[in-house]
Amino acid sequence: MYKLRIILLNLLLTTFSVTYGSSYITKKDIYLNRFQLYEVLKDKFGTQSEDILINNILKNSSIFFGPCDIYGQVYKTTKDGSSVRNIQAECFSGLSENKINVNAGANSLRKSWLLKTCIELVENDKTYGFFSNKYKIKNKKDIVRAFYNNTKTGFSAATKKILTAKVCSSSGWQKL
Amino acid sequence: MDPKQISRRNFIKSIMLSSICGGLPLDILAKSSEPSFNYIQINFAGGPARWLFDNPIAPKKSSKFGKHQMIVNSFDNAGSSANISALNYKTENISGWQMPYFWKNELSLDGKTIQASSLLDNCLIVRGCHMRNDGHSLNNRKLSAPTPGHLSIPGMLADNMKAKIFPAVNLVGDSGVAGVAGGTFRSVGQAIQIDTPQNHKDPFSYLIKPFLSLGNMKGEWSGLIKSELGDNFKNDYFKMQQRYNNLVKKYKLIIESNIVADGMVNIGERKVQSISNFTNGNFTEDHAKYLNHDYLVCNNDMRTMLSTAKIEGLAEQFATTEVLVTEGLCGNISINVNTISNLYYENSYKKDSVFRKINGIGDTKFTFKSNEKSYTGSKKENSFQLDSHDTGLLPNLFLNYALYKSVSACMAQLKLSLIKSKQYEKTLIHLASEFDRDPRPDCSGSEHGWNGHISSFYSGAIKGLKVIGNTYIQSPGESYYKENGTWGQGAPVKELGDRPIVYGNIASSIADILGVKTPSENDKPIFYKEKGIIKTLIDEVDNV
Amino acid sequence: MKKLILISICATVAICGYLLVNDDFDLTSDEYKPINAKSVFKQKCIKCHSYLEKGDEYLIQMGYVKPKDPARSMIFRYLKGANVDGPENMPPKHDFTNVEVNLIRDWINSLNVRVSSHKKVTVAAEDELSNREVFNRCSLQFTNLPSSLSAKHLVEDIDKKLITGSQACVQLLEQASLDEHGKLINNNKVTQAILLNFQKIHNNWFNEWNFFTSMSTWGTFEVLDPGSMGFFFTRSLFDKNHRIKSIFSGTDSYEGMRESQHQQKYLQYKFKEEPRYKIDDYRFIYGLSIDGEYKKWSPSRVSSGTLIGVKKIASGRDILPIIVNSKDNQEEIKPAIEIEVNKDIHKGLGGGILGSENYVNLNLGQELGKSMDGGKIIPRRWAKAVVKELLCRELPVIPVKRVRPFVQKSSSLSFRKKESCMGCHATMDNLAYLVRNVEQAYSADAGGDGMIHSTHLRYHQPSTYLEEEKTAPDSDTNFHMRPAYGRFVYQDIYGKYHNKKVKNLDELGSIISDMDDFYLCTAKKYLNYLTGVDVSMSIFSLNSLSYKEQYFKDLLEQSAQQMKKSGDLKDGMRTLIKSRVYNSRKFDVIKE
Repeated sequence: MYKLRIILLNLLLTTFSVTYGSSYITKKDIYLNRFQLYEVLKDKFGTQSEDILINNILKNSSIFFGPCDIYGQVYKTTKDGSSVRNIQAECFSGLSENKINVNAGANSLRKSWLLKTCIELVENDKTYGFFSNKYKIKNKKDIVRAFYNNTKTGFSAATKKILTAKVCSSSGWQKL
Repeated sequence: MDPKQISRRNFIKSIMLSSICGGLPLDILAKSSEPSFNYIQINFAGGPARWLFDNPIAPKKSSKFGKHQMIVNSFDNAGSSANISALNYKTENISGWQMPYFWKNELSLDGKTIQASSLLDNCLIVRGCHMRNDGHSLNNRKLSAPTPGHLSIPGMLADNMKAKIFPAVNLVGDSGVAGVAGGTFRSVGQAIQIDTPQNHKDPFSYLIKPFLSLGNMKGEWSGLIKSELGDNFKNDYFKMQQRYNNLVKKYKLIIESNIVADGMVNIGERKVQSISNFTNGNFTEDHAKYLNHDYLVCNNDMRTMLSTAKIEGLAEQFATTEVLVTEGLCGNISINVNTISNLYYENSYKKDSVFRKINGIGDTKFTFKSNEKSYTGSKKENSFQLDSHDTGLLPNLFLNYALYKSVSACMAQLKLSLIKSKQYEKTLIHLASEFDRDPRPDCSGSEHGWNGHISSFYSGAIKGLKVIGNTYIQSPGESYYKENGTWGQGAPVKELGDRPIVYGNIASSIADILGVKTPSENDKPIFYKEKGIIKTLIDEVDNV
Repeated sequence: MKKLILISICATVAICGYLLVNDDFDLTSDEYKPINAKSVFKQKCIKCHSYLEKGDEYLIQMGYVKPKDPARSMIFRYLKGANVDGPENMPPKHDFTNVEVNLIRDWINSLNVRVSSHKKVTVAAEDELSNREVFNRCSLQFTNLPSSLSAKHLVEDIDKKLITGSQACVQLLEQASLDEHGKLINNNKVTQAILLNFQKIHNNWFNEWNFFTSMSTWGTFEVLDPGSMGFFFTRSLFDKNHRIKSIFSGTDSYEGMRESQHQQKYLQYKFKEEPRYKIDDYRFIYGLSIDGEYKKWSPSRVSSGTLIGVKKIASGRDILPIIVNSKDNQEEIKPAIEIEVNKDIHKGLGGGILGSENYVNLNLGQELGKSMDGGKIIPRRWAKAVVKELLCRELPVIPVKRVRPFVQKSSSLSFRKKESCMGCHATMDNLAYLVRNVEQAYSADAGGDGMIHSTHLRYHQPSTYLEEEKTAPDSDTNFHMRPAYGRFVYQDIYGKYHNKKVKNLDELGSIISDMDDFYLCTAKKYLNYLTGVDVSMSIFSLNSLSYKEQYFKDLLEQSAQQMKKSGDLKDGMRTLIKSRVYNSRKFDVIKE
């Protein structure tokens, strides 16, 4: 009888560990959405970076998230038809963009697009020049400090430009 | 010690033992729900008639069915010209099922021909599904998200496919995103769906754009790119793009070969004359049978309508799908098929100039203004509306054949590729549209058959051909036309408690195959996967 | 292994049954005299529920008892004779006397509210954000801008140690206040961004938005803003004169106040690949065509531009004289007919957001021209949306034992006969009855080239000759003309069961705005936005929680209670912004 109680207790606890293992709290990392990324990178790389940021980030709503503003779209006539005056309101892929999540998540395509963006920003003399001047880049620590509050983040690269692109596309500073 | 009490040592032993035991089942349960299937949805937004294609209206030899003038597929007269009055509904026996005569066709594929019926070697057809309400958007969106606003099947599959570079891809066509199934994407996790821009000329390159750009960056950047992107950049994207480009050419040739009337069994074999040389008053109701949307088609030979026909974007969509699936980039794709455009009209008249409707649907009266100019030519706007309200009998016959022959040929090509890459056994291809159609008594077109949706599935996991679902011989009501012949209106199925199949049953079945939670918990599946083979839970199929 | 689990479950049931029927427990004693709650527990409960031996602190922390709130205390609700609509099934084989029940009640009322456990957690040192970092985080979330661009003066104040990061966040939020007309008091790029971001957040709470897919008329986008549901919340958040209760009362609707230096030249909706439609090429129409001509209508278009406020739509601004009642998809095909309605297209049915034209229109879920019949055809989708979007609950929300009275075995509708179906339908259908008097109708029977038509609600004035139904009908052709009574059948997250007749949507709104579920739901959604943390609503009905679960439960309860008490959504936000979790780098807490 005594041993039977041990066996039953085991079965009972087994059941509990299977059925009560779940948590009522789930957490998803939230990253900067396309509007936030656009503003932050524009602040770092200057207004000359707008085209690069619009084409790579702002227009990719399904990758970088952030809903559009349907009625924020005021159209103007162009040679080929029409375009939106305030590009930040634009629903690039249609009105359904107004229901995209406000918070952005991570995905593999995000990394690729951001790396492309950062390399383009670095390759462009005007935008990289602005960045270098703004953060008074003299050494690699300055580059890391431009994105992170501390310099102990373990980044290294052969050249300043490569390091800038690497740090720029890293996910740490993009997390809210 | 009280015998009822358990010593501390034994209690601790129990905890450890149960921890070990408790850990195992969770893991096994998780593995059993791991998806192993790709899902490709081929969506005909608009709801074209399926009775000429994959809706067998008399599935068994013993099936009774009510004839309708518009549900016809062969000219049964002798002579060098086809006679419209000799049109009949013919079937072809395929694996014991009486499939529409369409399946006797041969499909041209890149220098060879195969029987269309070879697609039916691994096919399950679910007919007579009642969609409950009419409406294009409402029902097309149900195809992925049966409960409006809730999780979608591609969304849940994408949650389990985060390891793929593209968890879900929606190849957007004419219909855009919002109003069709692809616009219902909703996942639990943070999985994303990429919608290609509407009718993008090069959807594959659009998808892999960052990888191509990064791949073009040489010198100091290539090391960084490889180290940052790791496995995501292992693929040779340039090679894939080259492969895609070649495939587009291949699929275009396939479509061009199959869209023309030449080669279509029976209906393409003889001249099919349209109406001509009429003057005021010389109209009969038969003229309604030559309507196509906004034109009264008066080609000397109806077959020439297809001589310049195109389906924009279809080649690119199939090529993209083939590369994505076989290269392991994505296993969750929606193809939104565009309509047939660039039809050739000869001496044809704008519909509004020659007749007008009185008293609503299906009741036409004709007038003709003798100074109306006829039109001859081909342009993009000369098109087949998949929502074929005003597509009369003859255009309906040819245009549906052209559409389904082209798509079937593309599917056959895709199937070959999937078999070669050993993926056909774990891919579910789903041909879907909102609903079938309820033909008009005067054969001037057809209305929404919202109580008769049909879905057909193709997969190496389906062995043979199977048809399930009951339909009415004559509609008892709750549709546009009562007693209108057999077209596919869903009838009760005993195994479902004497009610027709509803889309939730289909959605639950698809979810089971794909290994995801059903978005339609209240509706039981009607087919399922067991040890890699797809089996049906209901077997009823008849006309009642 | 699956068999092992099955055996385990059977074993669990067997063990529980063994414990329950075991006569070893002696519940009566000649020496027993109930003098206080503890003595009652000792005599009647502890043998099965040993945790009751523990101190008050433990029982409060674990959620077994809520100080001064017996009706919401788990221990009390289970007592037989407690009469607080709880399960009342303990102890299983015996009863409690009134004396004993009162002793326990008095004990609960004597307890002091303890310091919430969320002050007993902390943030790991390496995870703690500096004040600057906290402010930068909220600045990005509220304005999309880094703090150096959104509010440099607040950054300076932080550096001078005058304010904390959280306080700076709250001050930033306060900047976007609206005046009595609904316009931003300080109208600048930063406040506009705050207003728009929160409108986007609120907009995301509502699932249905697409007039074209829901109602097949793209033209509706030109006169109705699908974001209007979000505006109820946005207005309340930023306008101190619009307390939370205003979200659920009245027939007013709201729209965005927008400004633009340029005139809008194009329509918003673009169909397929066609060029964007020019406003000058299109006109609004209504009614049926006569020889191809329609009557012209001139409603106000939804304004375009930068969002600078939220305004109430003036009553009677846009009146639709006639609607077209198309009876397609019926057994007999009837031609469309004109019905004179003189309808204010922005006036709701009452209950604020609940009866707003957009919310009902988008969630009606029935075909055009179909009148409600009380059986198959009622706006269930609307009812589900209310439960899911405003209360964060999924049907069924009532326990099985409460379902039985709603089952109608003699009904011809299959779902009415089954308890498993009525578990959802009892709540859904009774709620949906409140919106029985409407159906969808077009403003004109066709749109297209140069003409815009839209979908609106046709309201059937209840007939004074018709009474309310006695039971839920299977199909009642007069249902849509009867008074719109409904019933609120719902068990809230703390277990309190409601089964109350409701006369109109204002009454329903009043019930919802008094319910903890609504405030917890709102707090939960704000927390999710701020931190990415999603807390299941089930947590509020559980007792045995980990410290982290307890922390989030307490945090949301505190946020919810603040909002409920003050009627101000901002108070809930403040609680969350000041929380330890928001000040943590990883949005995580550890035990102190």
